[in-house]
Amino acid sequence: MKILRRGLLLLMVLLVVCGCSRDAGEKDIPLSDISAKLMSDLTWVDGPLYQINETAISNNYSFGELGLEGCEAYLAATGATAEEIMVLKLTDKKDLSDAEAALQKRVESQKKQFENYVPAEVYKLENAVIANHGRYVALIVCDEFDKAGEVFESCFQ
Amino acid sequence: MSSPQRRKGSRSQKNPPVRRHNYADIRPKKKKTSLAVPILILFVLALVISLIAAAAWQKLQDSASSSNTSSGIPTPPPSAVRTGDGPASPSSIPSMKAGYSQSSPESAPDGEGDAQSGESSQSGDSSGESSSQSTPGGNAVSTVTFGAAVPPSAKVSESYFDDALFIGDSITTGITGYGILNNATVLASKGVNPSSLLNNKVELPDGSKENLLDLAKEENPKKIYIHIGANGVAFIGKETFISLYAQSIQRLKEDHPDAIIYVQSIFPVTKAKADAEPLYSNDKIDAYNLAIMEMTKEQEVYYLNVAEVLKGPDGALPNEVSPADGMHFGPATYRVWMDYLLSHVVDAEDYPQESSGVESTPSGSSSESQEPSSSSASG
Repeated sequence: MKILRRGLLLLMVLLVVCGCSRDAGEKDIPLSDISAKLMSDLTWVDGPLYQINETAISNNYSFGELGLEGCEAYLAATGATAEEIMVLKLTDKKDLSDAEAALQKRVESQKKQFENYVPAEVYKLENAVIANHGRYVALIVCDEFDKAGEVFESCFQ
Repeated sequence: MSSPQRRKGSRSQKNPPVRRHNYADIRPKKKKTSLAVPILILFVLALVISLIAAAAWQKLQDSASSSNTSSGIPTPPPSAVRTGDGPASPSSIPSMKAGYSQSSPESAPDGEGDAQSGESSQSGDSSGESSSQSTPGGNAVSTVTFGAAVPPSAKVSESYFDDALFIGDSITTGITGYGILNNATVLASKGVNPSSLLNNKVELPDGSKENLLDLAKEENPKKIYIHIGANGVAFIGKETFISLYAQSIQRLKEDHPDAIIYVQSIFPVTKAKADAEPLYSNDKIDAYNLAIMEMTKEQEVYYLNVAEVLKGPDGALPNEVSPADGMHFGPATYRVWMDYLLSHVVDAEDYPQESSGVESTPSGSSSESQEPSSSSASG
């Protein structure tokens, strides 16, 4: 009986501890660290990307009612290329598919913008990487699309 | 593409030999305690830790505040702290209206080039006569002549763009793409040229396809800034180019009889671009700009020689401003462009003026630095 009581007590403590963290087992990685890793480990033809502000984020992406804990976006240093990084952290993982759909919409829009203008950039968009890890989601448009997913994943190891 | 979730590794643990104790036999009998006690202890512990942390935080804030006061640096109110580059909260990210967006002045981006702020050269064409003009809508304006570049004016605040509409090509899309302004309406699409502006529906950032002049008609701007031509100069003959451009302006005048219409010069390209693709030579661009300026006289709209502030000493866009394609540039140069517009207005007296110019002076490294040129696109 005492063992059972102690077990219950331990369970309660565990529940309290787990309840305090939003998603047990998920590393809390700053979005800026993820972006920095993507920028340093991937090649960007147009030079270092430029971090856009909230106004520009709302201009470029349609997240609607998506619950975001935070997001960061970087565009090509000039408008010459389609290179881009968007990293976001969802409030709830259940919004993952909506987030991915919003990012895919951005890719499609960019594809249409570039295909009659700088067709050479379209292959980057056709191979755009939309990756996720827990509540983190990223859109990466670059030359090294085959490497981008791995670099993103390495941020969590 | 989705990445698999990383699972926490499960450690294998050796099961210890089962040891059965009859605690009742080896421990003195204790009074039975309820479960509430350890929980209460946990809460009290958490409360104590929180209070200690709060006290430390307060102390830290007090000391920071006193040091600022003693050094004469006022502590800005929380509302003055710029958070533009921080993570966006869901509530702060409205969805974009189809095809265009509202933008507002943002402070100059850091880490960008130290592009020249404001103009330091003369306006493109000084041969034009100066005389009093009125806008098509009858607004009073300073001494400006149609068919000559708008001369420098007092620099107005960025609220001047509150009722402005920008129409243009890929370069103009950067106004919203980089978040340069958030109080103006921008109708732009990559690849727009005088022909497609007039005749075609073009792809918009929201995925829809519309004619920009049709969309413009739905707006009620007091000023219209138009910038096209970089895409047409290579493959549209000058006369056709001007004819198409003039037709678009006529349409804008009909749809917006009260608006001040500013026609901006085609921007220069880098020497590298001009050398690689002679169809885009800056001499050719200058010739087209001269023709555009003459056209503005016939159309009675205002010509802005923005090219003059973007040119380096060699009359070209500096290579470091546009290393990738010799035509597009980054946010620091957008600030130079916007500064030029704000200091070349025809109705400055009707608007609040910028006191010091500090607000929109680009800052940062010199990666985009460029020398002002006294050469004019028209000449």
